[in-house]
Amino acid sequence: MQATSTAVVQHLAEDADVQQILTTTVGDQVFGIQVLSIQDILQPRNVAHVPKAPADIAGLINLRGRIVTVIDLRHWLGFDPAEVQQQMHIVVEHDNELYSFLVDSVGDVIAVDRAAVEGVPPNLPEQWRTISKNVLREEKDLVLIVDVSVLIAALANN
Amino acid sequence: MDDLLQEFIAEATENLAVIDQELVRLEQHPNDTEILGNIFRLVHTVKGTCGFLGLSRLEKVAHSGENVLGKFRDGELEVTPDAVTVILECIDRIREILGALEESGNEPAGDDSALITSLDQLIEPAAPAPAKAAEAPKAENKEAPTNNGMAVNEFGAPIAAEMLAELEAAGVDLDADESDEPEHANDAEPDRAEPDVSDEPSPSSLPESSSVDDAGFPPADGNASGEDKGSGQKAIEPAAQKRESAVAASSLRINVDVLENLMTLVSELVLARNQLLQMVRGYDDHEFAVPLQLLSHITTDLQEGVMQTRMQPIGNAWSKLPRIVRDLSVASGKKIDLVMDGAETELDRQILDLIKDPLTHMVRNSADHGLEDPGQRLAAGKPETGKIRLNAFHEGGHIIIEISDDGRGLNTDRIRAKIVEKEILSEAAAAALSDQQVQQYIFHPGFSTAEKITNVSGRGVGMDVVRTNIEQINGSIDLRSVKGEGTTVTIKIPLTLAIISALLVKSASERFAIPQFSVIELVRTAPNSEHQIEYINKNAVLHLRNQLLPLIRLDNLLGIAETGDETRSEDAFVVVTKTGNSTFGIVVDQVFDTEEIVVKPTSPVLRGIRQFSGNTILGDGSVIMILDPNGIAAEVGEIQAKLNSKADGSRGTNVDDKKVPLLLFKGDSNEPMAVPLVLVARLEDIANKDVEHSGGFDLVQYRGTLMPLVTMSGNGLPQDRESHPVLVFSDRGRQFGLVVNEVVDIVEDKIDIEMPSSRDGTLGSAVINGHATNVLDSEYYIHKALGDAHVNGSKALNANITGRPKTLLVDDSSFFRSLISPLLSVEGWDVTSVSSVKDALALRDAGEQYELIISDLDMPELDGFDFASSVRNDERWKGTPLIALSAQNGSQNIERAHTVGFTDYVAKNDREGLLHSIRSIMSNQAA
Repeated sequence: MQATSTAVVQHLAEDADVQQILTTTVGDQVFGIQVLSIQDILQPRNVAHVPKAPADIAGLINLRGRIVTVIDLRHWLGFDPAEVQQQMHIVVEHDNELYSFLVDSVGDVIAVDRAAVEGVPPNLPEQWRTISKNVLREEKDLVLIVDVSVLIAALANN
Repeated sequence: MDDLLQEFIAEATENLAVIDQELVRLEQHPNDTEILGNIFRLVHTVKGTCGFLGLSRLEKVAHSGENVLGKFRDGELEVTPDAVTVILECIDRIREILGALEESGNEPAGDDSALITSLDQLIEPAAPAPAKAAEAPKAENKEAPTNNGMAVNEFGAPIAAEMLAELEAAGVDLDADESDEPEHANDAEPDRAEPDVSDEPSPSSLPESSSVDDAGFPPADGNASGEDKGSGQKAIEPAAQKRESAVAASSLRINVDVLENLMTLVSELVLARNQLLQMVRGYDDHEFAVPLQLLSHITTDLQEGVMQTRMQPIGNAWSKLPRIVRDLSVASGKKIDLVMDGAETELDRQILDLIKDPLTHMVRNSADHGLEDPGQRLAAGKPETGKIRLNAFHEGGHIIIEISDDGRGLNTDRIRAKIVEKEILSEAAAAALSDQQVQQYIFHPGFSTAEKITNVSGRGVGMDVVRTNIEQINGSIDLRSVKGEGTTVTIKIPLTLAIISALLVKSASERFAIPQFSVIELVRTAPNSEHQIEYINKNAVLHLRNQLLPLIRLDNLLGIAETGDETRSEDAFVVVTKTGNSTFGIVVDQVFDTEEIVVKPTSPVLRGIRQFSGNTILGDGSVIMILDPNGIAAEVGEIQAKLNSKADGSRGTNVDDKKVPLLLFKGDSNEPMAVPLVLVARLEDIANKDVEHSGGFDLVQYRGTLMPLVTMSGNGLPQDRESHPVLVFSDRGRQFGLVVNEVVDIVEDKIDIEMPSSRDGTLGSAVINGHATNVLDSEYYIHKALGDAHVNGSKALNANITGRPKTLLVDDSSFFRSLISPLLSVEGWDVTSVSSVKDALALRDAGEQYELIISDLDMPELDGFDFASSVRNDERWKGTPLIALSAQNGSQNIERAHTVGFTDYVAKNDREGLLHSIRSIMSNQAA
């Protein structure tokens, strides 16, 4: 375990992007999204439903003339559907396409203390392990750092 | 000047500039293979393009240069300053030719053999070494240009001054040769910088050039003449260079990404404008009106302008083809004539790039597989030279490209064999396919029927790749082939991929866009209206102008139906959609406006949904999905295949095999019955409570009139049910309903009545769909329900079922063929029906004899009049009575019909009249 986490820390150190993360909550879990990958944080809004789309895709929204694919993180992570459709959108860009993650609430921007980063424990469900490779110990919370590109690739392959 | 040529000149000028620089670098680093490779590639590009453009002189020069460069690159020849000098000379010659080309649009005449020889000599050590050539300037004409090279050589490394000197020297030849062409000389004149100079050299160059040509070699006193005209050449040179740069500057090569980005931005601007317009809609007089209108106009112009940057004539994609066909024709010994029409038709550059390869592939296919050898063609009675025709034109929002050849057509037997061999279908299934269906299999992946792989086609790039490429750009491809007559491939592609006109519809509270180009019409359906949604075996259909249209409910298709009830609201809209071969209706709840939309590709995570081709943002800012008619067609496929098979059957085969779509139902006592589908106007379900009784008839109020209902047994309606399936027949404006027990299915089969019936109301028994089935005599019920006289008249001649007299029916409409065939069949005729005059005459050539011929007058290609003339002018059918059927009753027409040899003339819808005419003709014959 110690070895793994050292490797991860080194990996993170090379990756200058992961210096600050925005904490968000989905269900009862805190997730961190790299600040530099975030394009926009949007208020709750109407999402256009896409028939026949995978259930993890909530639909589409229009962000200043660009179409954003909205990803329902609750569904992906296996939580019950949100009781109120008042989730915030965290918009990220990947491969020239915009994606938005639906999150229940948005927290703070925190600096990543590399010493506090470890690999995700192997006993997490596969969907969880896809979304995140690293866990940050932040005070009393464990923050899962979201790996945007892996998640989107997984969705595209579904 | 030709756009293509202009583009080539601009590109070549750029390339030459690079080559110059690289050559200089090469001399400094003679062993740098990267530089060599680069130079070689550039020269090769110039050469290759020249070939396509038919610039033979340029090609020859570039080719020799390329040879030498190739040797350099392969290390077979040492890079010496001498050699580089000759190469530079070659490059300069190319530049000169290009300059003249730009000026006049034609390749100037001229002799480069000297230069080419000196280039070749670099490769062939056997020939006198270039260094020695200096001593032999007067010896042979071939040596003279070497002199040029050598003269330059004395200056040492090729620097600008030296190049100029070379140009002057080389210019001697060129100028002299050019002036052979008076037109060119004239063209050149005004371009000369100083009038006094231009006056002088032109006349003087003429006699000189002729003397050069007469002598057959360059002037012995080359230096003198070079000086003479050097002054003139100098004057030309700067001007020519200015022009070169002018073309290079006036056409700018821009990365397509930049254009794409501009396009996106303009699209957004259009949307923003639309949003603004929508906001102020309703306010008649507001302060924004004028600026907004201005903005609107500018936006539209800008949009058109940006679109224009992407449009190119389709001829650009064709430019390679004449060359390819010529090479093919040489390689295969076939004589091929390539005709290209509509090359100026413009379409989006992006699409152009995408169709280039498929087009080339198909033309190769036509030339390689489609056309026969001259010998085979002559044997088949065709002209020796085969013809491949490319035709492009606009139709709706589409460009249609047809590639046709007059070759042997597709060999359906071989395709069938291949289908079985590749285990795509079982042997029985393959045998059951119509020819038209079989032909479509050449689009199947991994399908190539070429028996031998030639060096031209058959490299594993099959028609399936072509189809995939075409479908990627929202296009469709269709193929028609007649054995022995040729093959036509029709490609339909949108003008642009970026902005399309779309119809907005709503289904189950969600909105969707349907591309307008695939929408044929909109039909409003409602209970009690003319158009109603009907069901055959739970499949929704719409009876529209004598065609059964398969329907698909959008909400069911997309899984967004609010209730599970399939037969819910009949109050809906049917969007009649056509894609490729199939036509079907999409049932939606509501239809809004059409709107110009910007197609945006769906995100990769949604790309697997085949019902959608993209998504878009509407003027109000909402995001909606764009339906993909091709994807939906695939969903509808199965229903489609069933209902559409009749169309395929009549198209693909030469002689109509008499298969007709039949409606299967069960009669009063549950016996299987069949009736040709075309005779049935509608299918209804009529509730018992709606039935009224009057005058001994069961009647029902139907679309504002009273419609009599009859049962097959003649008894009253069975009272044990709440509603009855009813087949509605329509005859001369009147309708009646035939009450049946159950509507079973629609199948396609022959009506081959084997057992004549003694029972009224049936024509007899036939094997349909593998079961003995009674065929309904609809005439009988028409008379019964509508109260006409001679009930049994239709059976008069029915007695002798074997040895029936034969009749030929020629009509292009499959509807009339299936309407009249049974009628004649009942009259006791053995009917052969064909869909064209060509097919009819083929039967004559096959030695068939008929006692009566009935022909439609209005047919495509050869019409009934042509047919009659042809019949009367040939011994074989000269005496056969000929009845004309026509929808028009003008006396002129009737007169003309009699003149060309028709025995009688009957209106098309007058069935009684036709029977009457037949009977009187036959009794006259007998008499």
